[in-house]
Amino acid sequence: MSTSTGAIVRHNPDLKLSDAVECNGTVYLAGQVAENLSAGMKAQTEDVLRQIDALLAKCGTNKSRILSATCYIADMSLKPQMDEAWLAWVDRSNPPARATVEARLGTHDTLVEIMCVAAK
Amino acid sequence: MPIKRHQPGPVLARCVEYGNLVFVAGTTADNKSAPCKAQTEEILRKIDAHLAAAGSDKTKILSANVWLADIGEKEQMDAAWKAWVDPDNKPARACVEARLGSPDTRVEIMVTAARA
Repeated sequence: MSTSTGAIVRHNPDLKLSDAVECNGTVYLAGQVAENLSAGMKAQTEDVLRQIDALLAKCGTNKSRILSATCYIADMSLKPQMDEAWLAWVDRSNPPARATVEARLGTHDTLVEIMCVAAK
Repeated sequence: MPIKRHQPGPVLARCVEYGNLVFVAGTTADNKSAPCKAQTEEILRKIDAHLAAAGSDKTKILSANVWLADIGEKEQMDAAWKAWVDPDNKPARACVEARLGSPDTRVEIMVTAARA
């Protein structure tokens, strides 16, 4: 489902937030976490990246047009596992600006959350 | 609209231009033995260079995320920030404590700016 007010389109709005918001040819994705939170860091990252692919597709764009990504991870020592999934997924010709920091996330078993901005 | 990626590596690009916007990647200091204030100064010099390469400058920064290894060092970061930021053009900014890439990384800053 999506709603549109003037130049802003909001995808999957719920009580708290929208999964994706489009404005002026730019798409802002909400922080994505894995559906399977019992998985390890690499599998959670793969899960998150699949969800990002799906949201980007819903907005008519794809990973080659990601401009910026902010990665929050529960444990900095697991960054190599996140990067392994990221490297297998990212469009090598079109890497975004990115930052990664450790932060406490929504639940104790959430290991990674990623927020992206992309061009349409 | 075309996307221009500066210094692309396997994981990330240091800076990405799209239309009127410039996204600079999370930036840390090379001299990690320096204290938070000097690390911030080095980061801000790097951000100046990234913005210049993308046809922008610090007067056009829209938003900044600042992550500090120790929120107790915020005054040091702010001292460097205040000496650098354009007094007539301050961006929206957030500053929180987070664990960063290495224990001696005291600060990381990510900015979004306009080009025109």
